[in-house]
Amino acid sequence: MKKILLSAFVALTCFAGQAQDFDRYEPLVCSGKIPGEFITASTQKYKADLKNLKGKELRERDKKDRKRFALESNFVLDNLLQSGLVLFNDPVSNYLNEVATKLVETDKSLKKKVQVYAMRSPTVNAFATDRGTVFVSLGLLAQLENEAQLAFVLSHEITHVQEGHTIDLFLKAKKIERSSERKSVLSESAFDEQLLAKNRYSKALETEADQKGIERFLLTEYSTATLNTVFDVLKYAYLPFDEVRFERSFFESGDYRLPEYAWLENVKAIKGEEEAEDDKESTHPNIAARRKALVDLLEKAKKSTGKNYLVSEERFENVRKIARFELPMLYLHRERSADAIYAAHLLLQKHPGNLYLEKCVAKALYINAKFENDADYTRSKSYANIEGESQRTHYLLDTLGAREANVLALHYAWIQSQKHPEDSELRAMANDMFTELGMHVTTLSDFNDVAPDPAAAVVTPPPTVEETKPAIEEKKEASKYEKIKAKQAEVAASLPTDPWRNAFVGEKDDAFKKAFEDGQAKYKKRKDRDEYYRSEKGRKELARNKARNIKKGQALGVPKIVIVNPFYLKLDERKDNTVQYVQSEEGQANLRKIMEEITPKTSLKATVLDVADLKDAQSDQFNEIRILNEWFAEQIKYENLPITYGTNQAKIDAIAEKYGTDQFLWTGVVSLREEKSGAMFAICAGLAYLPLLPFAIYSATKPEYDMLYYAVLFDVNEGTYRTVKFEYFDNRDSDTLLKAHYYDTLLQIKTKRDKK
Amino acid sequence: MIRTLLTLLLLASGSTVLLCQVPGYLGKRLTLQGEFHSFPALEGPTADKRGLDTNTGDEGGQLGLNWSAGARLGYVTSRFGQTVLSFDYLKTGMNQVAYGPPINSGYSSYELFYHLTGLTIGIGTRKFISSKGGLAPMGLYRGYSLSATFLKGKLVEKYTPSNIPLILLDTTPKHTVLSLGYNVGSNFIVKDRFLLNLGVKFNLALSPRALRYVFVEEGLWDPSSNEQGFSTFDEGNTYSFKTLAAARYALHSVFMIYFGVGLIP
Repeated sequence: MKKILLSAFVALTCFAGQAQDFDRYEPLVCSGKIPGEFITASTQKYKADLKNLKGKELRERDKKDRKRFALESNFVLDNLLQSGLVLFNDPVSNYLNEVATKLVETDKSLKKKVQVYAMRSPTVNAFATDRGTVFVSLGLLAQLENEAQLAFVLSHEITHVQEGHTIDLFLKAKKIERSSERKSVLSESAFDEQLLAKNRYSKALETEADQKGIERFLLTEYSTATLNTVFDVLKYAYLPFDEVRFERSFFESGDYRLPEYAWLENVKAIKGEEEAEDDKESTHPNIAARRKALVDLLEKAKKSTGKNYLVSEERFENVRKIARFELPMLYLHRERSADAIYAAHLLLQKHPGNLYLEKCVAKALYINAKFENDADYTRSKSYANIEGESQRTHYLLDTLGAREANVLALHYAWIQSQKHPEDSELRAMANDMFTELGMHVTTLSDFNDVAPDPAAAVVTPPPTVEETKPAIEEKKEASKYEKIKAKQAEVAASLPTDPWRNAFVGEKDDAFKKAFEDGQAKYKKRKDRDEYYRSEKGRKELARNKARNIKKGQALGVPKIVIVNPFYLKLDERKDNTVQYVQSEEGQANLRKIMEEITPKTSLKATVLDVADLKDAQSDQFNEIRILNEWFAEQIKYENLPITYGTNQAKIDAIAEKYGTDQFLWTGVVSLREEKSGAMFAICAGLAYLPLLPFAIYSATKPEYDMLYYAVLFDVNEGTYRTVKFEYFDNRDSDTLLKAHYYDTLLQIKTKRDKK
Repeated sequence: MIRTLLTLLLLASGSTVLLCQVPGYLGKRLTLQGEFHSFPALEGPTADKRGLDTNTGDEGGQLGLNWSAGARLGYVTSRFGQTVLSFDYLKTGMNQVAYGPPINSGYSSYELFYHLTGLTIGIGTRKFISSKGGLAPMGLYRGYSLSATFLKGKLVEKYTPSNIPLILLDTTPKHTVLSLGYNVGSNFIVKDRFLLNLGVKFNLALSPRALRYVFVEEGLWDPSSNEQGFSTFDEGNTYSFKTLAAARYALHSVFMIYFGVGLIP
């Protein structure tokens, strides 16, 4: 009894500690100790695998393939673990591991081996590696209906681990490649045959994972009643986690209305993925085949009782809700604004006024407006392929013109910033939208103070039959072009005039007027600056500055920086495996060593944040690197769009405050060893004319290298950046070259521009 | 005077610091290196081998090497610029036909073979190519130089085709030649303090009489016409020596491959 009470207490406190306050939702972060596999060098793991291989009696070719597998799997997996996409010690991963434990309770070695992590991805997916690491995407968790379904998915993945399917598939693929090479090098169909053979084998493994997975599942007390619907999850995986009508009132308020042309009344019907589709070219059997196999197995098992929850229904609901709350942010990271809006809209039904969700919507509209305002960007219109209710959000964003998109984003951000005046992100987005508005609206009076009375509009009565007759006769005589123009005029006349003018009826108080004027002033300044730099004088100045920066270096006058995850990649074109994993990891360690050696020489204060350098107690830094890298990826993705605020800006600001600087440097090296060409020609030329021989020998024997060195310094507060260096060299990335350029980079950052 | 020069130098270096950053190599701007320049002697004799065109010695027809060796003191003046002071020593061979007083019907003539030595002092700039990873003082560079070479001849052989007694001529075998150089090379920093330098160099002797001799074979003194109007054989022979020495130097140094090793102190 004492034991039960103690367990209950531990479970309750554990859950209470992890419980999310959804009203003040904070995106998931990692916590506690960093698991060893995240920070242990991949080379170390690879060498351990090689050591294990040594004792095995294998054919030389098999040994070679296994070595290759050990190399690729360790480095690729570690790359994923360190990417920030994978969560640890978070409520979702903890829960996933508890469910997994229920499935491997009787198997001690598997229990020790299997580790489940939640993956920050909106895609519906789960996968496993031979190392015992299982990944479940938040996108999948958001769609599942109960814990039993999750247990089935995990059971399937654990079977992959237990049976060593990843290495089996790798070895088989190698075998197929070799046999295909032997058969025909020149055959056009060789590649297709190879692919089909690989897919056949992959499908066999998936079928085995389904079968053995269900056997494992049946050993537990989980109910089989809802397993069939797991395949519905797969069938409708491309849809959002719920189907609720997206009402235009979501964006409309007061007198503000969305333009009619941007509203889609009838959405495309949901078909779902074809269950019995030809799976010849797929790595998985089709849904119908999997469903049938499952039903057959369940019938054989004849298990009638069971529970949908063994860990906790409440925990499942909580974890699924967390997964759903994460989706809008994850969509934003992937430039899927319409999906972010629809997911947030679904959650706002049950959590009206949720600041986090409303900020996600505001950000999605903000980015959409930025895209619309930038003439250099063209985005593909995706709404035609979307099924179900979310098609309306896609249609809306795809068809709104730049001005309407701008007004909608501003309207939403302004209303929200009025509701949450303490929130700096909403305020910044609204302010930036006021600036962008300068492109479309020049005076405050362009916005109506009072909405026009619809009844006052002149309604033209429908024409009488007599009136119509001559009109039709006239139309018959009209030319093709007149008819086109008349039709266009008719369509234009059917559109309501300028609904955007009513966006701020009743909102034009002093604060609004000031924000509007500030925005106009900023826009004018920006426009004047752009025009100046387009003028001949401006172009000359730019060229002068560019030349000066090259000749004298930039002098940014920054006293303190943070260097985020210095990057190093070694490629070798001459090898089968172009990416040189071991050398890349060694190179990265060497780069850090160079930084440690050189930084003090410049007296610039620099902190290096690198996952590979972290100790297990530094999960805070691990989170910081992830947040910073996401911010950086967003800035790079939107390139020249002046995105003032990042998706997670408040967190970024906190990191900047912690390190005492807004200046963050992303730097790295990509080194390529190229295939040598023209050596024979050089030698022949040298032999033909002897004085050239020394040059010919030099040219023929000199290894060919290419190298990219980059260093981009971001002001994370302003969202602006300076490319300190982005240079391609025909050189090997020698230590001295790296040291010299890294020193030069830091010197340019630190030096203040001379007033002269 | 020295104080003034030092002040000027300090002011110059100070203004450089103010106007632009000079990263040098990890902040080090001075380089010291030794260089060896060489190329097969395709024309003219060398100190050890008489070269292809000589007809005075036993070793005629053998290929020799033109060479010079010296030191460089480099100072990084900007991100991609370096000023270089150079000191080189060269040694090669030179033939001359000298004339003496008439014996019997014509002037007596002597074929002379000199060891020609020269000390070259030069100043130059190197422009490191940024697109190739260059950052002074490392990487691929193009350089220009202006130098003065103080040539000195030492007579090591005399020969006369007839049985005429040799007469010691009182010539002044010295001559100074200015030249312009252009070089392309690459400085590798093999270890933090060690430099390796490889390149090629073109050198144009700024000596009209040498160029006239090389291209149109003019510029020597002929006592029978005495166009130059010299009053003694010594004057005439010295004139010819200068022309030939400058020409020999011009051909000797017109193209060289070089390598060097150095230090970044």
